[in-house]
Amino acid sequence: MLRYIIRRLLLIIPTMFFVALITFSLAHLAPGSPFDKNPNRPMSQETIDRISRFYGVDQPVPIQFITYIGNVVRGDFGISFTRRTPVVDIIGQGIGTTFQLGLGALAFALAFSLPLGIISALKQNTIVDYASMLVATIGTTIPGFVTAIFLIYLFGVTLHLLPFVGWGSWQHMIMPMFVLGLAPGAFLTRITRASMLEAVRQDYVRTARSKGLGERAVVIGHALKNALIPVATIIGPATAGLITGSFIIESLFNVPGMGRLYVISIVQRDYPTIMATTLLYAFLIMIANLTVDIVYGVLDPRIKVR
Amino acid sequence: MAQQLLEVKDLHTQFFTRDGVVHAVDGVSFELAAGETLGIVGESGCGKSVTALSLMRLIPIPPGKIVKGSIVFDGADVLKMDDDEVRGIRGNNIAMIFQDPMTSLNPVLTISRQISEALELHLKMDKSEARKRTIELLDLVGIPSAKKRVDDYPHQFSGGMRQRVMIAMALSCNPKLILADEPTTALDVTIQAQILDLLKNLAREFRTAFILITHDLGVVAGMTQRIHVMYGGKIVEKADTGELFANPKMPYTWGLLRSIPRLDERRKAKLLPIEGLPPDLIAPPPGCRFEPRCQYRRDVCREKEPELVHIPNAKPDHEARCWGTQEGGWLVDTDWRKEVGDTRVIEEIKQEVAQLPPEPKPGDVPPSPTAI
Repeated sequence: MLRYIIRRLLLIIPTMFFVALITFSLAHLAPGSPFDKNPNRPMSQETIDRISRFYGVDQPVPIQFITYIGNVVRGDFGISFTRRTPVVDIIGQGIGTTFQLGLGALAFALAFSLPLGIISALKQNTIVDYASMLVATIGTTIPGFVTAIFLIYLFGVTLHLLPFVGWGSWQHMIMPMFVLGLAPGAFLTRITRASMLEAVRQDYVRTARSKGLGERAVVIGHALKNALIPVATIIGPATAGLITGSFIIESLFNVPGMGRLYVISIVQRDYPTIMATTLLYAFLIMIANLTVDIVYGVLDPRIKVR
Repeated sequence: MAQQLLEVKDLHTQFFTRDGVVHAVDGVSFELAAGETLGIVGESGCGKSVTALSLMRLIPIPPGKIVKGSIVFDGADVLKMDDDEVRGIRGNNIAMIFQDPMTSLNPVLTISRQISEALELHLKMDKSEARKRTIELLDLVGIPSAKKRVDDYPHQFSGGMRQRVMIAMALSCNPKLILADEPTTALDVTIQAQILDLLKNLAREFRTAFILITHDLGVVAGMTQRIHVMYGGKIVEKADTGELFANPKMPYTWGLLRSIPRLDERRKAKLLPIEGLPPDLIAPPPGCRFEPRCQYRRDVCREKEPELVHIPNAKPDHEARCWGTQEGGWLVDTDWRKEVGDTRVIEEIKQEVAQLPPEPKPGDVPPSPTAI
């Protein structure tokens, strides 16, 4: 097990290298540069050349890449072109907020999806089932930004119940967490329901009943653990999605997290910030996947980790 | 008659599907004394598994429902019990061994947990007692180094070993009756014999009655005292095992016997299959259920259904459901080994089957020979 985890952790290094390579190429392939002529802030060609030389963007892209990788290996992620502070510091300010938002949304998604999925499977084709499937369908089909705007209008502007700009108090967190967790939660509800329906039809559930176990023991003790295996597979990418997918929500609710920072840095061609955020996201996704694989092995004894 | 352990009377179990009501078990009655062994034989879809599941009220509701009849076990009607009482019987007084040991054990729970569960529930053992007993049971069913293997998961066992685990599980609370539903069908032939021996010996040792359900007459031959042959949701022949093999009295049983390879036959002797398809249990034939496939049929077979009655030229408790072999029938003196019936009828049945539309997709409902 330990060897497996170490090997998976080591595999992160080459993956990160390729993520860096592709992001770097794409960022530089995109037209424009961080020091484009700006009518509000006229700069002479001479100035632009000097700044470019200072930040090294006058070099050929492959040379820039090699320099960048060299710096990263030494732990230097560079200085933001637009804010003139180290990228690490900028990310450090946003990451806590993004994590709070992402994990809160995940907790919310799990808290409603698992019970709802299980109940609708057990009460298949009843009003309870139809109602929760309706909620799940609405949750998956309506995009987060639409829900967000609707909620802002309803609870923020009209009813004045919740603040909808910024971050800090728990009231600030409710709407963004709800909106962010809704879609993955709705999807998880469907998956839970489907895999629970599958599980309760299995022979071993009949065996469990034939032993005289009560319905609770049959469902929780025998069906649920099997039903959670496919659900766990989905939770991994969903977690990564919650952390990375937050930039629209962060922008809408003006949450000072990494997602908003990411969007701004792309618009401004702030190469060091783009690179650092992308690499961080890639790292988080890989850690999420690894966690799921480990949980998978715990849930399903048939899966041997090698 | 002495007090029976199990008395099933006029049991009707039906499945309500989109295509109609499937009469899976259609008026089955039989008795079983304590410690007695019974074989229920019939082809797929004849209602034998549904009968067994009905005895423990394990029919999924919906679509299934036990609509009529009584199942008196140890003096109490299982069908009149509330859910808690039924659960008190399941695993405790009646235990079941299922067909496929690969899927009947929970893949994510240890063997120890799966056996101990029933012990803790019914015999109120604590964890360590239950564990000790589990190891004893595994020893008993012949699992080598049971102590080491008790914490293994099902996938770490072979098919035969898993079926041994299932037997240990069934025996765990010392039930009065074990229902074994095709316990060896999913296993290799060599393992089959071992499992059957084990089941027989343990049942004898613990004086447990068992009902062995199988499609294979060869399997029940050495195993049970009596055999009931089922066809199309009904029992069509009841006899002692020796009597049934020596003196079968129903053309369906003849067909089953003809389709078993025999060691003492000539090498080149062909096995004779039963032509045609099992009856549609949504709209069963109005007369004898076997009539559409029977090589000895007459008009009366199509018009009226025969009762399960005592048969002449046979032992007193030998009963069959056939107009031909009943008192005054045309098959009373027929030797089934020599007279295969009307060969023209066989050709007819073959042609009717050939004209049937392609089989619908497999499901709970057997393919329907409505064209017949």
